[in-house]
Amino acid sequence: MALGLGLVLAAVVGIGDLVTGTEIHFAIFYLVPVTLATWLGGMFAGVILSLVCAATVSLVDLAGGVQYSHPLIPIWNGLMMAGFFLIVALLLDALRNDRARLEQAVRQRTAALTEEIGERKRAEEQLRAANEALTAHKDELLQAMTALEKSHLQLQAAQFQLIQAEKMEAIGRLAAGVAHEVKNPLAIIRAGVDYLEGEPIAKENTGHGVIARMREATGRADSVISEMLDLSTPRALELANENLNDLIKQAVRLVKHELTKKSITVTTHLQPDLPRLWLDSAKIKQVFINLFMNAVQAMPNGGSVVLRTGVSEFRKIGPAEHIQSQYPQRFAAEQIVVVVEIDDSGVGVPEDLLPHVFDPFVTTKGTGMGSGLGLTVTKQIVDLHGGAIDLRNRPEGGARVTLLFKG
Amino acid sequence: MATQRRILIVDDEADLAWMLKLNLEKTKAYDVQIETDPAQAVETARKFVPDLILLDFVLPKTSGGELAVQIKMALAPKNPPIIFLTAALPQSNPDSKMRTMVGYRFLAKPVGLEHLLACIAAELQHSHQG
Repeated sequence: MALGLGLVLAAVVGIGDLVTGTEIHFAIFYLVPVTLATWLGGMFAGVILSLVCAATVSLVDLAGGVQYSHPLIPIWNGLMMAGFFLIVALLLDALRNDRARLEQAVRQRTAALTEEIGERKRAEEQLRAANEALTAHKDELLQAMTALEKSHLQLQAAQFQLIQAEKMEAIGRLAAGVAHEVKNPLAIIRAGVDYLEGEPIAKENTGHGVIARMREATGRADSVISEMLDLSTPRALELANENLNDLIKQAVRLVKHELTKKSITVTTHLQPDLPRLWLDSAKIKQVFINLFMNAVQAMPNGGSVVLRTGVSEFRKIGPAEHIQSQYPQRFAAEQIVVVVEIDDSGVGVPEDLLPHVFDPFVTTKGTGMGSGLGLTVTKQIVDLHGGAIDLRNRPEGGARVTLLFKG
Repeated sequence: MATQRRILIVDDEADLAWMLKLNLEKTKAYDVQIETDPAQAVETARKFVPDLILLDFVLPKTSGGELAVQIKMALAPKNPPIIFLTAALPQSNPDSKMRTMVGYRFLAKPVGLEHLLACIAAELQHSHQG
């Protein structure tokens, strides 16, 4: 096709050359078919056209009647033209090949790039999918973890309660046996002390001191046994619709004398109109008496006890989180609770003892000062009421007991 | 001593019974007899005819409750008040120092003299009025 077009053009140029005669140079126009054929058809077409055009130039010269001084000159001229056309054709072909190679390279590169872009897109897609799957997984994992943590806490609490129950049972068995055997001899000693009280010896200073100490010692022994019995006697509550503030006032009256003797002041901030609660009044009074006596023992050199009552949502009270972990299902976050806080200005509780303060026989008091059962009994009573108790040290010193009852 | 009231103490703890007798007699207000053998208690009560009985609740072979019924039957129509003494009651509960059970007063051992005297006086007054 390129060859045909080149030959036609060569013929046209040849006719033009013939028509214009020998005086007008026309040879340059032969480059048109040569370059066109080469560019379109390649080297083969270029070479053919170069030879055809050179022959045409010679033929036109001969036909034009040019007189040469030597018969070989037109052949020489033809060869010159052929050489010239061939050089042009070869150069053009080289250029054409280069261009083709370049185009090829560009095409390849483009294809490679397109593929790369495609791959990158696919990879991004996969990444996004993986990410989404991960996010979904993460949520699931978080949920599973939360559930696990919760069940772990519940397990811990259950285990704790089991241990407590076992301890209680052991104490109960012990108490019932010990109480009868110990309380009778104690009664004899107490009666003896009462007898001596009326004798002349009690009028002497030393005698009086001896008798007083004996009386106090029997009292102490008795209170240990009584607390143990408290733990072992049946736990039926005698519930009545009570005003907690009134019970607190009664308890304060009962311990007032003891507190005054130890230079301890009691301040109460009782919120009026507390919701009435179903409580066993005797046992709740015992709770407050125990807590007051605990405070007394924490303040051997006197101090102050501040008691506050109020109403709050469970989640808003200070130790809510801790209480939640101790009693996993007892309170809902929005539950309305009646709160009692008792602050003392004593020495506080050593940090390592804090998790065990409600365990039986744990005491910060020196040997002989307390049974280590007061707080255990207290917690048991609060638990029976479906309430909660928490004891912690205050940053400003002293301890704070928080009691909660469902409002 | 015509005004002296008669008190019978029944307790197998002989030392305690004796000590309580000493303390009660010291007040000069009471004539006290003790019985440490529960099996003899009804007979002793019949002979002594007490105005009030202090009765240990936990006794060998019998219970204070059963014994109370037998003594009451033996003394009828006289109906002296009975105060139970027991080592099986705790004392830390503010109300447990003075508990009543089916009409009887229960005192937890060890009981202070002052408290015991107050309870005896209250029961005697109550029975006198009754």
